[in-house]
Amino acid sequence: MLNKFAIISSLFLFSCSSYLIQAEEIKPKNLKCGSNSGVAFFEKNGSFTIDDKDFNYKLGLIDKNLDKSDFNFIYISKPQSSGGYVLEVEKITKNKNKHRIYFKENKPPEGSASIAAITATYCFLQIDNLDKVEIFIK
Amino acid sequence: MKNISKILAILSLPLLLSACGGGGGGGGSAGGGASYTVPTCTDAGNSTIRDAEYYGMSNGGTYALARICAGAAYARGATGSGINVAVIDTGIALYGSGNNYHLDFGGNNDSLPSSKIVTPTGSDNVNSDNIPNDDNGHGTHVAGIIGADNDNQADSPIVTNGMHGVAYESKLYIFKAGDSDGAFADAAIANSLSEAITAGVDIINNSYGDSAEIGVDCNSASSCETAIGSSVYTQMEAVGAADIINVWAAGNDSKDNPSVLAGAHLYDTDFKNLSIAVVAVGTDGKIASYSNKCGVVAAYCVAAPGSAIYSAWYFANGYHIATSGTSMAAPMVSGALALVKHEFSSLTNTQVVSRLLTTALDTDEYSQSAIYGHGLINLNTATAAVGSLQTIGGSNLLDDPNTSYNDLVNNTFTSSAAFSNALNAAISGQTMEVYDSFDRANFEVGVSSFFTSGSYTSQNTVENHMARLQPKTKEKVKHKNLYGNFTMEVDGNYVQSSMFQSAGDFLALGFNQSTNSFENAVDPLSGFFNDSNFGNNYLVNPYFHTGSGQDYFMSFNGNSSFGIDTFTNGNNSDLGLAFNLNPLSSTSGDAKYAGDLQIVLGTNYEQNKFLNSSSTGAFATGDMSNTNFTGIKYKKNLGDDFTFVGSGFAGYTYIDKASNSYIDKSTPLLTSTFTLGLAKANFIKKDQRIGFFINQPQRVEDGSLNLRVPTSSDRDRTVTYSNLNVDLEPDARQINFDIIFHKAVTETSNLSANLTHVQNGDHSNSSKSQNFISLFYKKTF
Repeated sequence: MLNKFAIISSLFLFSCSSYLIQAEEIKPKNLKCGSNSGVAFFEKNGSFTIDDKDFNYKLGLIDKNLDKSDFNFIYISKPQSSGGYVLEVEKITKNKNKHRIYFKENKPPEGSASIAAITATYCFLQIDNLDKVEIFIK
Repeated sequence: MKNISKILAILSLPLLLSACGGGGGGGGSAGGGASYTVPTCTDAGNSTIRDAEYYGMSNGGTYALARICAGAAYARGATGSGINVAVIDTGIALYGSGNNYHLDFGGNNDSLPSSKIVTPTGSDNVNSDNIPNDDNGHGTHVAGIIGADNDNQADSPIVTNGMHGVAYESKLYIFKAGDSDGAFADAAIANSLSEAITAGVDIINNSYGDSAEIGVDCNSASSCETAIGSSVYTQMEAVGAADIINVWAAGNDSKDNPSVLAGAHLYDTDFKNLSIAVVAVGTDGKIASYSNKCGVVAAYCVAAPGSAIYSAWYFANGYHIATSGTSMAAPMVSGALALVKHEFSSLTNTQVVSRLLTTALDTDEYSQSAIYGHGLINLNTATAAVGSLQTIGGSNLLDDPNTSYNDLVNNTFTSSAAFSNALNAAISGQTMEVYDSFDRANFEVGVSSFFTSGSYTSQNTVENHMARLQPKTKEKVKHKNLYGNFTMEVDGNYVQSSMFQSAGDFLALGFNQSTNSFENAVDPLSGFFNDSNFGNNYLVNPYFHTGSGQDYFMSFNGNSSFGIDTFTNGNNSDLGLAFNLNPLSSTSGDAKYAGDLQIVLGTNYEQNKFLNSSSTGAFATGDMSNTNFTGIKYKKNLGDDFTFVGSGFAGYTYIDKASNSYIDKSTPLLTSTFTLGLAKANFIKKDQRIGFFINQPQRVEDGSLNLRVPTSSDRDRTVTYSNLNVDLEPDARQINFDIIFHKAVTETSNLSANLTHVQNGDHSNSSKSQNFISLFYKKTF
């Protein structure tokens, strides 16, 4: 029994380490995170790539001077009941042609006050050689 | 479990927002039974008021300002002017090196002054400086909902359609307490509340809150103070002590009760009646899916539109976006309070709050107080009279138990045409205050709305003219009594009158029904009425008000007489007395050239009137307005056929001031009237007569009265009166020109005609000339 468990664990660890060895943590070339209460901004939320027809529109709702030359990936969270939420990028990894972006959305501290408007957090990123993207939200 | 519910609620939001933004899909609201319908208010605004900016506040075909009937308040003049509203939020958008304000707030290149925005020293409590720049957008948006300019400008090179705030002429005091993420530190909130108190604002808008729930996470003043934190709570109490209204967003956690910040006033009498929690309704008018409900705070809670509200945004100068939340509903209420406060200067802040709550739309869907509290705010009913409108009875204390009030319909003044032209000119455009019976909210009404003009024109009736044409009838009925032979003449229209006349030169006693309180003093013994050409009334000026009364007269001999008349008006509430001296009588000498002269001295007391101008309520006059008058009447036969007649009267009227009346002091009113005429018998043919008359109806020649009317009231519940001195002399003199023709057709039938030309009717130079033709046929059976 013990041997069997040891073998399975070894395989699992090998598998993970093999993956970790292959994944490369990268930094975005450009990053802008914040929050926005505009209905038009978050009524469609989630991930947007430069191929998305709303990509430039979303950028423009934050800053009219932004375009695809500045960022090539957008993530807009589901709307929250108030402000005070902060979205951050914990890490980005690249494995072959696949990027994994790990977001963390921090809630307002318990008992704190924040704006009573429906608000979504967002991050705009520019990542070199971006192809396939998988996102993780914490 | 609560978190799951919250997530579900949030997840449903995109559906709602999609409906709001694009005009498709359902409302996405929660709460409210399916059997309830959403009532709508009646917006009395006109098309000028409801311009593009009026409809600009909301997207998707649902208009936030129309939902709360703001147009009705604008139509009544409420704009929020002079009301100071503090916005404790994330600041206000500033642009360029000069920190120019957003165009919606009178920034550069805008036609309106930028004095709309006030940023007191230390107003940025996030960065601890004096420049509360908005780096989130929320504060700019909230400020726009309250008071963005109504300048009918696009305000943006980017977005073509502009908007204006609920109270678009209010002044906005900006205090930055929220950072770029929309988070508020306790110290920043407390400092901002304190600075708002120092700035002396009227209303504070708080579009932020916490996730704790009133009634659940705290249920007493002390436990709520603990939950909120003493630094903020102490300032909330200070706001109440400073008599400032505090408006709170209820929160967006889909809970049954508002947040603790929004509902803490429920447990604290220090600021309970000055605080309001605000829940949000969606574009379908029902409670928005995200909004907390009023719950235990229902008595101090109200609903307002909060979904997809379009307002100013910090992104670029002149930019606007739509956002959702009770954050957007709260400034709707703050703006509404500013309108109510602007509209009614007599209300305390507590009354302003109470009025907005009491007048909210609370039927059908909004009858669910656990959801909507008092209901959806309604600026039509909030700015209209609640109960009946009333005049105040002369007091300057609105709440004094001895102050009397009178419904508007009980306050009237019907003026004599002797001065109505002058009075109308003086009060035209003048306003005064009246008060509703709910909370003595002050309303402005035209002084003239209480006044009705008497008119001599109305007396140019066929009936009146006929009275002058009626000839003396031939029939006489003789009676006999203890004192000898008496004659009672049935005298045309005078048929109800009686005249007893003694025979010969003996003492005569009698009475007579007089027909005119100013010209009635005609002693029948004088022979005035014994003219054979025309009826007794041909000396009577029909343009006087008539009364009735008794004449008592004494005749000492056939050549002169002395009489006493008493007379009353139609409702017998007046008393008059006149002494008539008749030094000449046509019975003496040659009747062919005989003349009659009568001199009259009299006085007339009118109850609650003067010069027959009746009034009630706040315009009442006393029981003893008095007119002392004198007059002369003269008739002279000029040969066989011609008769000259003339009369003139003048008098001084002293107005008796009634207690608490708006008709205050007055000078004596000098009035006059006259009649001149020439009559010819046997005109062309025998039994045909003609007469020419010139009359001036009674006119004020000199004198004034002072109207003392309430014109303003203050939040300390005192009333200020203003004096309006009215010179009662009209700007013209009415003259009537009469031609009278009479023909005896048979022994018992007569035909008469009258042509009257009226110049400057009612003593007004703006009156057009009038002409009247009368025909009269009478046959006696």
